[in-house]
Amino acid sequence: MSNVRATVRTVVLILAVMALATPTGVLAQAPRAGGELVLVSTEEPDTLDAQKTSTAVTGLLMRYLGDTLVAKDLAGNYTPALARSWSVSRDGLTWTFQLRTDVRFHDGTPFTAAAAKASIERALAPETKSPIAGALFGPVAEVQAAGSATLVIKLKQPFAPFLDNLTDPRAMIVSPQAVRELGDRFGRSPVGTGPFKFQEWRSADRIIFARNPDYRWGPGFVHAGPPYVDRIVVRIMPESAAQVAAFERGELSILGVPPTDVRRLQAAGKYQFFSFLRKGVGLFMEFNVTREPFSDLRVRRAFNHAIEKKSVLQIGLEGLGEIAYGPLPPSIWGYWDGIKDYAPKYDPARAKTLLAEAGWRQGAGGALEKDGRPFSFVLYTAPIDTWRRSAQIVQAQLRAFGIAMEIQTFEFGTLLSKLRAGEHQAEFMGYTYTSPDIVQLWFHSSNIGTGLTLSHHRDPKLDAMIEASRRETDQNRRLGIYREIQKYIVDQALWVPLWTNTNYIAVQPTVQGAKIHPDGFLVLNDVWLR
Amino acid sequence: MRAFLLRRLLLLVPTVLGVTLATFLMLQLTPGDPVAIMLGEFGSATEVARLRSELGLDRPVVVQYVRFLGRVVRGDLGTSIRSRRPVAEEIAERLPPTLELALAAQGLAVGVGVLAGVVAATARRPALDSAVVAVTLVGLSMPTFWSGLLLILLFSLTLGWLPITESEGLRALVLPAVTLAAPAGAVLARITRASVLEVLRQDYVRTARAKGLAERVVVYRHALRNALIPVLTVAALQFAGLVAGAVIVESVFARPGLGRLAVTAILSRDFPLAQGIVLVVAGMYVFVNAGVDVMYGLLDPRIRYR
Amino acid sequence: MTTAVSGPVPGARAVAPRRRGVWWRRLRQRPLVLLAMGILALFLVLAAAGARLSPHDPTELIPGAVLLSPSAAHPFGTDELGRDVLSRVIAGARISLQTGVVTIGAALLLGTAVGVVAGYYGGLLDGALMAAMEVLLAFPQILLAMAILAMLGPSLRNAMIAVSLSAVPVYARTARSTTLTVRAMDYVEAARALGAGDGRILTRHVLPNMISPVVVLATAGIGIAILIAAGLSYLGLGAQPPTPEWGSMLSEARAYLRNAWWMATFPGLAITLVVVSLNLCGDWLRDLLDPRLRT
Repeated sequence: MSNVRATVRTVVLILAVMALATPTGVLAQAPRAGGELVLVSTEEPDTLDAQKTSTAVTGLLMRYLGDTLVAKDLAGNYTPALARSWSVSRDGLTWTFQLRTDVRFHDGTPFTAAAAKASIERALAPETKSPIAGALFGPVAEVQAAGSATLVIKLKQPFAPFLDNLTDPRAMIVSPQAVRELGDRFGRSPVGTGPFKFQEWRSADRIIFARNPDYRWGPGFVHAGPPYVDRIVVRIMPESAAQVAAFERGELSILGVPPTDVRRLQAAGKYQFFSFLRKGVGLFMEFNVTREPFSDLRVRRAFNHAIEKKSVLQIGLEGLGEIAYGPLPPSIWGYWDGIKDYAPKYDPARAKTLLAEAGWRQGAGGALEKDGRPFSFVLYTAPIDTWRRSAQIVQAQLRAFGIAMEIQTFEFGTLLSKLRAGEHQAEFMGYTYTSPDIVQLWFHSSNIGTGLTLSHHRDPKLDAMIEASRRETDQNRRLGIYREIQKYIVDQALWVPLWTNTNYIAVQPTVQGAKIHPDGFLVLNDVWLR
Repeated sequence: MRAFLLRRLLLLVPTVLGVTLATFLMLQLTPGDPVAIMLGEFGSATEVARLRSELGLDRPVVVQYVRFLGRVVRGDLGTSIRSRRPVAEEIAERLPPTLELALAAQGLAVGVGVLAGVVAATARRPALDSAVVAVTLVGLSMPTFWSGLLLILLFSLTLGWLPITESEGLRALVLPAVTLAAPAGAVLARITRASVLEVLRQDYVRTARAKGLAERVVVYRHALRNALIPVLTVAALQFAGLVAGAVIVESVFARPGLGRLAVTAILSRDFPLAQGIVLVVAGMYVFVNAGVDVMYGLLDPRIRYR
Repeated sequence: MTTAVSGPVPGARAVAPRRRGVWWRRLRQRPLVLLAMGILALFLVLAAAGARLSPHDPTELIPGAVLLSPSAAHPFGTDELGRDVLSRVIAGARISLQTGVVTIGAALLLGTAVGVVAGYYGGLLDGALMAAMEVLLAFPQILLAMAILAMLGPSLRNAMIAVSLSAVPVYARTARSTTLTVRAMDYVEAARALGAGDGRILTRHVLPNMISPVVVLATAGIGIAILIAAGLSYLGLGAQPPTPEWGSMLSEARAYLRNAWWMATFPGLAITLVVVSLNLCGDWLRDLLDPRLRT
């Protein structure tokens, strides 16, 4: 229920919040300890409790504050983290994890199977009202601590995304003792086992993490031992222009560069640059199928032919990304490349025909009309620069068809609650996620009203396909199911997918040893400052 | 004296009650159902009921107001819809940077404004007077959201002298404070100029001049002291206006503060938070006004008996 | 002191025809005020005839014209979406002037009504009305406007309502004090003694005397209203895209401060010019109509 509700926020959007850098390989010098790494976030976290958060930025911060049972290495393969090894029963229902025994939480208490069990059970407990973390573990039947170093998780049915979900930062193990002692204050002074520990949170200003000097249990793809930098400071700055100016003045170490400044900063030649395609569709227009005029499939299809995406990409995003065609981007496993040809092409004549079939004809003033009413609708959107620009281009394109689109902007949280309530006709949305299981969040009818099924589309056939994709543990057969899902969603024209942005990360020349993780974040364990 | 103080403080009571009533009415007078607006049209029935009783909307209005007052007196401003944290706690966190900015701007406005006003009033060359008048006119008319951008462009982006995003330290305060101080300083300069000109026309100043005292002595020893009383009054009254004006300046300079919190509250339809901020700033305004009156009364005995 | 009805009254009837010559003579001595009036006239023309004068539709996305610097084709350059900044500034003139005039006009009507009624009838009504006004005056204007926007929700229309309502108490207070002064005048007493009714006294004696202080206040008030409304739009609480409102244009220009200086410069200049001109005219009117009135 409210599980999904928040997956929403996390999943959704999120500006290339934090960043990363490449080690360009020229490290002749030995890493030096000390110094402060200054990052920036557009959004302020709602809480730093990994199990209660619904903001994406918290997920990113938990990468540094916490450890998960399993991790993904830089090639995207599963690798031991808090669990040294794991196995799964033949029926896919019983997962057994052998845990490390040398790990301590930041509050000094030891990490044990009992602690892991308590942490997972807290995420699952209804009173935690976990927006995301609880849902990650899937249909859990029981969590058992078999001795101090063996953890067993029993599922009610096979759950294909299980291992992948365990690598999500929100699946981190939190200190049960700190949770007990701190109660409600845990979210403002979290305790995990990660390479950095919480130091301070000044509202609307900054969050500071300090090096965990005892850290010796990092995954294999980073150096053994505590991180080099003394502190990570995360500045909270809602305005991208201010972020860029601060970065250029050297006040920030690493910056997710807004599209407007990418070329200029690249041309400066001073900074290390790193870029990767966002893991998620950056922007799509979604229709509420329960409300006029988008309850008519022909109108939704017409929009898919009427909007010329190339201009939206060029002007809205300065061309720094790819046109989107379906619900998944090429950067997520499960993406079907054939969608490019399968999806509707820009075709104004076809759009007009479809609109006419739906009863919308050009009136006297050039406006489209049906039964004497003009074609006008309101697009709900969030105050994000690239979305605002894209909305105005779509608005101008639709005006050429005699369609009046009004733009209404809401703060993100408010926007989501309005969309869940279904008071919108159409909206702009985007998401970031690491696996194709995202289709469950966006399209399964169980998420209508509480989760991300903001199209309010109720479709047993689609539900069945999605459920099959989650039960299927054979990866090849799973790929096939995802291909069918992508085609079906395009057929239903629930979205007009617009673009997926390339994230650009600029790094100051003083910052050495940063590594990009394929899941789109910066590994900071090995970073040091020259 | 005691009587004066007492009277002034008693006068505070209806104003404070009025301000709390007006703030309280914010929620009552909102067109439509605020709970529905906050939760979205289809918030579940239990959710709506819970929030209604949390906000006390299920009681008669008078009871609601009394309870509201009771909570406010205890420093309880309700719970933010957005963050689920106590509104008082959120405001307490955001108030210091805003006060810091407003105080710095106040200092600048008074210092520069008064100096400019005196210079203009006593300038021998009309050109100097005109120049000051022209500058104050522009200072008064330029929107802070443009002047702030120009300062950023010049001093941070082009010259690189000052940070724009550091939220702490004196250097970070310079540009926002200058931006915020400009209109207030312009007003003060104009008032100072007018006030000094008027005093210089008074008999005792003429006498002082006739006695052959140096012009400088006349101006600074005799005229200024009297001329500054109204100026300082206006300056004190401006202070709460500066706190409110910080809304825009904080947004331009991306400073954490009450102003940015207020904008977020409005955009996210967080009524308890918006209500709390309005109440706190208006309350400050009322108390500063009363304080100014009292100070004024202490300085100038005639006023006490008015 | 005369007792006649036509006698000069402090702060009274400034617009008497015989003083027109004086106006012009004084005006000629103030070239800056003349310039200000010229600027205001120009913006009024732009506001009235904007659509016919502007080279492009202010919301048209001109293909291939993204972020062009000023040139003959686009004297003020183009913005991030390829819209002509000159056309947007012209269209913005209409919005801002309309905002200023409509909000202050409405505030003036409402405020004067409240003030006159309170001052003329006195008693409990006066007490209640003015107590309400005093409470509203306890809120700084931008805060009051934001409080009202919190209730109504962000939009240009609501921002106008908010700015207008937040200006009412100022006019109510001025109208009341003028009413009190006039009501106590000998000639009004005389008129009443002669049997003039409330309506006649109000329209013949009270309202005409209110014109000068109110005109002075309103001229400056329009400038303040334009600044506050643009500020609200800058914060995203007023005009919504693609409305070419000057404040929201400045807000959009933030991200392009160094790539495209023209995007912020022209709307910023436009607001400043209009408000400076209004303030110059306001100062001049104040000196002319009522030298004792200082704000």
